[in-house]
Amino acid sequence: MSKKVNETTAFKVKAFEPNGWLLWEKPDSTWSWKLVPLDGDRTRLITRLKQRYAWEKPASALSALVLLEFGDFPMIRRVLKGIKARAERWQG
Amino acid sequence: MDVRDAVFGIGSRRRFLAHLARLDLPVGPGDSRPVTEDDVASLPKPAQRYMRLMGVVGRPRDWSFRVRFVGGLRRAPGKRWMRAVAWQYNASLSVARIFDLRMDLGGVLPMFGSDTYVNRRGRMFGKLLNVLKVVDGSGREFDLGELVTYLNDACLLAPSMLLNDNVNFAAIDAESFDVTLVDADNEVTARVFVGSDGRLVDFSTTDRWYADPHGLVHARWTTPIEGWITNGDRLLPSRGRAVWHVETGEFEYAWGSFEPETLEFNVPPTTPARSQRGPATGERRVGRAVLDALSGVPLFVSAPLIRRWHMRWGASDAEVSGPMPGDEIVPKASFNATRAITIDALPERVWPWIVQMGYRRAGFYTYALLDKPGTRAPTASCPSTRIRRSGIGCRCRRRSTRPRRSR
Repeated sequence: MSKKVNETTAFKVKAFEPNGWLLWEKPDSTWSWKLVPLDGDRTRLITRLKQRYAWEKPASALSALVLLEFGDFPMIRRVLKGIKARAERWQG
Repeated sequence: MDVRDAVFGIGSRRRFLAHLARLDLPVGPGDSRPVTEDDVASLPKPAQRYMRLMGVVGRPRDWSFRVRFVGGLRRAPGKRWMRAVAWQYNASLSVARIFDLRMDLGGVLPMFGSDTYVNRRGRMFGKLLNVLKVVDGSGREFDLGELVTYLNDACLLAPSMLLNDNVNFAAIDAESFDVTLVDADNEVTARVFVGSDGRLVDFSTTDRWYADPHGLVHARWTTPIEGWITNGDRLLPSRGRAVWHVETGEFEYAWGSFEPETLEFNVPPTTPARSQRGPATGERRVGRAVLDALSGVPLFVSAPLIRRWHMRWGASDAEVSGPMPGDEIVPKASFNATRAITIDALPERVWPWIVQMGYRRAGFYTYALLDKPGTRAPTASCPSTRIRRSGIGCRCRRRSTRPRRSR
C-alpha cells in the first residue's frame, strides 16, 4: 500500500443511512456495514468486504491478496469485538 | 529458552493472571498452622515416610502454589510430541486448580487449553488459535477428573495441603497407601506408591475418564515420577509422566517438569503489584504494543488454512446469502467475506463507532501497533462528536502497515 491517501487506496463513503447501514467503496472493492435491531435493545452488526483481485495490475492485486488473505480476518475480528465492547460500555 | 517461548511466554503468563483475576478466587491466606508430629503420627507408614522426607513437620501448612510446567503432550499413541507450556495455580482454600496450557499443533498452530476445578466444578476447555473452540468438557466426569488432578499436584508438590479435614488416608501395605479427598459431593481416591527411601514413585487413580474417539472411558491414570531434585529446603519431582491404562495398553500422553525457579508457595491468586500497575508509558507501551501485535501473528499466518470458517465468522446462513448495500458494485469478487456479531446495545449506540473508523480518524480499534504506532493516544474509548459526522465522499482508508509519524 502506498503511503498517500489517493483514489485507489482509500475507501470513500459511498452512501449511508444513519443507524442503518454504511457503504464504503474503492475501485474493485466495497465494504458495507449493516445494523439490524434485535429484541431486547440489541443489535446485529453485519459487515461484508468484497474485493476483486485486479490481475491486470499484478502488483496491486498481489498486495491486496496478501493483505486480505492473511490480514483481514484477524483485523476484522478485532474490529467487531472492539465495536461490541465499546458500544456496550458506552453509556453516552 | 527459545525465542518463541520468550515472546509467547509473557503473553501466556498475562493470559493466566487475567484468567485467575476473572475467577475471583479467595485471596487467602489459608490454613497455615504449622504441621505437628501428631498430625503425621496417625498416617499410614509409607505416608509418614513421604511427609517426613518432604520436610512438612514443623513448617506451616501450604495452602496455595503457583508454578510453570514445561513438557510435552501427544494426542494418540505413536503421534509426535507437541511442546506444552502451562501456568498453574492450586489452592486448598475452597479447593481450586487452574491449569492454563499452551501448545503448538504441528509446531505452528497455537492451542490454548484450560483445566479448571473451581467451586466444586471441573472443566476442560481448549481453543485453537484462541478463537476456535475445540474442546469443552464439563459434568461429573470432569468434576472428579479435575479434582483428582488437584490431589495429584498436592501429593507431588505440597503434601501438607493434604493434612486437612477433607482428606483421609488408608493403609494398604509397606510401600503404598490410599488417599481420599472429599469436596462437597465430589470424592476422589488415589493410591500412592512410596519407595523405601520415602520418595513418591507413582500415583494411581481410577477417578478419571479418558477421552477416546467414541467418548469418555473410565480408565486408570498414573503419574510415574522419574526422580527428585532439591529446591531450597524442599524436594521437587525432576520429571514426571502421565499414563492412561486403556484396553489397548498403556498410553503415555504427557511428560514434563515443574520449573523450580517459578515455584511460589502460599501466594494469592493474583499478585497485586502486577495487577495494580498503571497505564504503561513510553518504551514499555511500545514494547507491549509490539507483543500484542506479535501475539496475532499465528492467526495471520494460518488464516488461509481456516478460510472457509473465517470468511463467514459469526454470520448465519441467511446473513451470508442475504443482500448488503453495494453488492452489485463488485459482482465477481475474489474475496467476499461476511462477518457478524451481536451487540448488547441499541443501533444508535453502535453506529457512531462505525462511522468514525478510518484513516486520521479513530483507528480501527484493533492492534494498537498497526493503528497508531508508538503514539500515546490510546485506541478510542468514547466516540468523538467531531469525527462522527460522516459525509458522502469522505475518505477513509484502511490502516497502513508502514509506521507513520506520531502526531
